[in-house]
Amino acid sequence: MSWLIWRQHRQQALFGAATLALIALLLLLTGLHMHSVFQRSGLGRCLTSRHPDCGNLQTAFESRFATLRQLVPFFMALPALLGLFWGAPLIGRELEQGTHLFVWTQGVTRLRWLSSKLAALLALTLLLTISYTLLISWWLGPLDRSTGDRFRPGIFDQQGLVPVAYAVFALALGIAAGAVLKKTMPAMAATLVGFVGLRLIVASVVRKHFVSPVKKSYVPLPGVDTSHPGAWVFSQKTVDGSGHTVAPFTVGSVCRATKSSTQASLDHCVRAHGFLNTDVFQPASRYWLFQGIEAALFSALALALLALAVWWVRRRLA
Amino acid sequence: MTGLNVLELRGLGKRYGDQWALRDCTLALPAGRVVGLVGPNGAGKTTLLQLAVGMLAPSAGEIALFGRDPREAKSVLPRIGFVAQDSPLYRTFSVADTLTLCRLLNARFDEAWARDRLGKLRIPLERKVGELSGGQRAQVALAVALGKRPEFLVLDEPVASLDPLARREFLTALMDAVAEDGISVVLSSHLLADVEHSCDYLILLMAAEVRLDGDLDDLLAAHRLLVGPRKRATAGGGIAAVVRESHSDRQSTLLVRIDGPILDPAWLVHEVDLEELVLAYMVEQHEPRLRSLPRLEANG
Repeated sequence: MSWLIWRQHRQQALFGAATLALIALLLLLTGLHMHSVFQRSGLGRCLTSRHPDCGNLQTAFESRFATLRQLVPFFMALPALLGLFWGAPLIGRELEQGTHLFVWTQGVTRLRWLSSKLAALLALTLLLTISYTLLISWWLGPLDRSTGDRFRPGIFDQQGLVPVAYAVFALALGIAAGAVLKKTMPAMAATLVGFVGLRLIVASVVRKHFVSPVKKSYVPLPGVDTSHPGAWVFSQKTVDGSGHTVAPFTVGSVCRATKSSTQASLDHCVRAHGFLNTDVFQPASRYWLFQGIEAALFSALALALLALAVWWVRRRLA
Repeated sequence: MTGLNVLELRGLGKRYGDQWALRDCTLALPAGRVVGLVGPNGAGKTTLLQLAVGMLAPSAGEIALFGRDPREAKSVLPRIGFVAQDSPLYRTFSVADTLTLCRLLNARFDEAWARDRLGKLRIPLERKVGELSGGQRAQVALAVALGKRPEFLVLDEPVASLDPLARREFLTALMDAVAEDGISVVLSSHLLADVEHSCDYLILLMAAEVRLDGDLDDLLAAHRLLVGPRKRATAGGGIAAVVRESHSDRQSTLLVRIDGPILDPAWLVHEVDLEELVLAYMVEQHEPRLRSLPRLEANG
């Protein structure tokens, strides 16, 4: 089987490897530069020492690499390509061209044929996507540390564990669609729609409910840090004593710091007006938990789709 | 009985949705024969062949190949050769790649023999399958199917896409190979000349059902064409059943199944050829068989 797999899929494999090599080159060249700027500018040291005032350095760094970062969302399409060009034709093209009748009547059972192919494609997919994910996670590192928003949808999706799970899911979706639809092009279309659709739904609707968010209420005393670095913030709201929502800067303008005011008098002012902040967010500490849950979700779906493909080939195509 | 029959079907049926592609099919194919499966397009030939090699699962009835379920792939696959309709092969593979594939995927595959055979047919091994002519591709498919040294060879419309010369070459090559090894063959075709040329056993499928089956010579011997003055056909006097009758103003022509010498001297008795026989059975379906036969017998 291994000779057949190589002979049939070498073009796809080489194309995948070439794409990865190209991306790797791009990421390495820009990434090395970005890492060196990150250290040389002193931003890395500033952030490591938890210095409260790295703001200027951060702004300079982030604006310098803003354009580059905008390129990265294009990479989100990569897993879909695996599903389209590796997954969909795997069974779909055989059925479309009738070659399944040729290859399934050789001395190898169709179950062995399919399991060998699945194993090879999955291994290659894992190899490529794990390499890619390690690279892109390294690449994004300085930006993540500077902006502190790796939990944000769109950035969360590009690193950690999830890209590998997305790729395996896209591959499985393509394979199952090819088996069920029996044609390559419709299977590719279904894979694209299914992959993009599910990714959008999970990212925009499902993900935020993986774990109930933290709701934190506190008095916005001057000097209290209201930011949640690295967290995924859903809402931040300030209310006054009568329960009306006010703009966050209202607190500062009502209880204005003057020459005569002291910390105690400002605190008193804020408390006297009854200002209260309520923040709803997923804390930064849950980043890897969320990565794990989302990766598990897509992996489980991938397994279900692969099981469907195997069942379909064994039972329904008989 | 099982020892002598390579393939046995009992009440076999295959349904797609509420449409029967094959219905209530009961047959026993003796080993060592070349069976021609004929019938119009959509009669269920492909379905029957794919059921026979375990590529499809029956919806009803039973099927036994070498006395076992053809879908027991592990034991059945090494013993069969199958060429599906249009001889599907990987078009991007060279002929040599195709041979390599078959060698690696089959425990015993006579690659030397297949190479030799393709060499004799002057088919270039380094050529891509997609660049071969239809006839050459069919020959490659046959060569790799035979290279498996199968006991049972199934060919679905193997010559449909070939010109008459290539068709004759293909069938001759097939006959030679079969004579060499004494394997059992089923081939489907909608061209009766092909079947007459190469087969010694006939199955006629009509509208998902078996209309006629048996040894070709026996079938021909059991039917006669009767020509005589216009009159109604009746069973009896050597006529077992009237398969088809046509009447002009003065003359009647009957194709009948006989059970003895034709006694009525009014009939001019001719032997039938395969085409007359098959066409008669193909036309007769307009009148349901089960209703017409008892009526004729009652008249006799």
